Amino acid sequence: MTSTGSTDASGLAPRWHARFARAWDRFFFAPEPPATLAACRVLTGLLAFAYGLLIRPDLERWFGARGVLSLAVAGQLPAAPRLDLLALLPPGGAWLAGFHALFLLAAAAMTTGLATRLSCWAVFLGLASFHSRNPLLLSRGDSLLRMLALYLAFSRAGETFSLDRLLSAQAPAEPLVAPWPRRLIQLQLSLMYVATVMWKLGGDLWVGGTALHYSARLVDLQRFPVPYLFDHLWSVQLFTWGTLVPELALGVGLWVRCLRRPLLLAGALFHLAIEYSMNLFLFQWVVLAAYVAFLDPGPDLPTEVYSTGRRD
Amino acid sequence: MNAISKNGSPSPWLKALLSGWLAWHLMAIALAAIPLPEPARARLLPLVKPYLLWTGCWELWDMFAPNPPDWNTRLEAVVTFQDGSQSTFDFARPELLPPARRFLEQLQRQWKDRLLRPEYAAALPDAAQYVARLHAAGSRRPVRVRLRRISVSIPPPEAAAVPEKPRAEDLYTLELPAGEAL
Repeated sequence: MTSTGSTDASGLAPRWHARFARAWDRFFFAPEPPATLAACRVLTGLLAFAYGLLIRPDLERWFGARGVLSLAVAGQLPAAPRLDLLALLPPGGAWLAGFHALFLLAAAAMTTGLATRLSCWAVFLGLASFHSRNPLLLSRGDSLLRMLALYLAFSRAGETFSLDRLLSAQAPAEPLVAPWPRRLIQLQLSLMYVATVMWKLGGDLWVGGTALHYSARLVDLQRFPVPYLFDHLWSVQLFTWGTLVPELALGVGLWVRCLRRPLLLAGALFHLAIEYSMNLFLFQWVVLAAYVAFLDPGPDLPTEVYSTGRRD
Repeated sequence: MNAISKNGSPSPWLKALLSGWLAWHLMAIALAAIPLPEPARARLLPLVKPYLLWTGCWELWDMFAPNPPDWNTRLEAVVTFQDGSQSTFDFARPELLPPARRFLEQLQRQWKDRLLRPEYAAALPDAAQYVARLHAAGSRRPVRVRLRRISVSIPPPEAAAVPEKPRAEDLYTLELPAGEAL
């Protein structure tokens, strides 16, 4: 065996370090077409816009000075994001409405890819501010949406599928971009699945196979009826344990290339089934938007949509 | 010096900087999300929590875990007026709406769910004050708002489905002296 360094007599340590460094570099920084990040940006922008529309009817009630939660108490509540631009605004409904209108504009710009970097940051700061101003409304979907906006704000997600690209008079052929923001979205999604399985394995109802009997009977989460499946012990156990299996499979298996497409399809069906039966705000749709990060540019997503025939 | 090369790859110094941050960030979100045994979790979490709260990346992902609730709970406010009459305000009852409209009631439901959790008890006075303002109309003025939790347990699977009597529990009472602004 040939040694490539001098820090270890066997030569294994430097080799291991070098291989790890190369793998890290390839994983986070090997340039790729921007189609995946752009597709994530479009879907995240759409969901941020939907969030903006959903909070619009009760803006004063949820976030106003005479609403359900004072600014002073909001700051004391646990697990609230700390970035709150709303706290910097003068009191008054007009300021809040103006902030909200700017947020909607930013979400629309993010979706269409107009001033993309700026609009992604504006959406992230807007989401963080609304979430911080009233953490009582926060759900897991809100957190994931906020994180997607943050990761995309660091990316060059406006390099394709965007007005920026279309309006750029001297645009060269579609550039390559570093994929690390996409990797963060992928890792965040995997972590979410693995962590939720680990938390659930600590509960006797999940281990005993009856958890779905209870969650299916939480009346204020129910949407459309699911007959039979949750009315028999055998089927409840099957589906309870059957929930843990796809969650773990998605958390780990999405990294295995040959399993990726079938798992993404299974995961999409899994989340759409939850969306049919339960009201969990935008959670299922945000997860599906994050799935796009696992689609590879080229095989899964088109590239060079604005091809000018020139490539650097 | 250009930080991004023509082929989209960051320059070496930017890569080193980014790599350090990526390693820290991934460790922080993993530490927060994974249910490490105590006391390790209690010791390690304070190291990453401020960073995650400021970057908006704090989340535990403990959906319906470790166990889903085995009871249905609602929150109501009993408003008492100056003349002694009473009115009841339900914080969220999406189950009474048609399925298509339940989606729009979700923020209301989320608000109710959080108010019922002990760690959000500091928000109860504001909620009671808001209900008082909602019910103040003309000369009819609330003098007391009592927040009550109403719970009904969900029978275990294959148990006889005997309807259980709801249990009521007072969570918070707001007294509103005459003359005090709502």
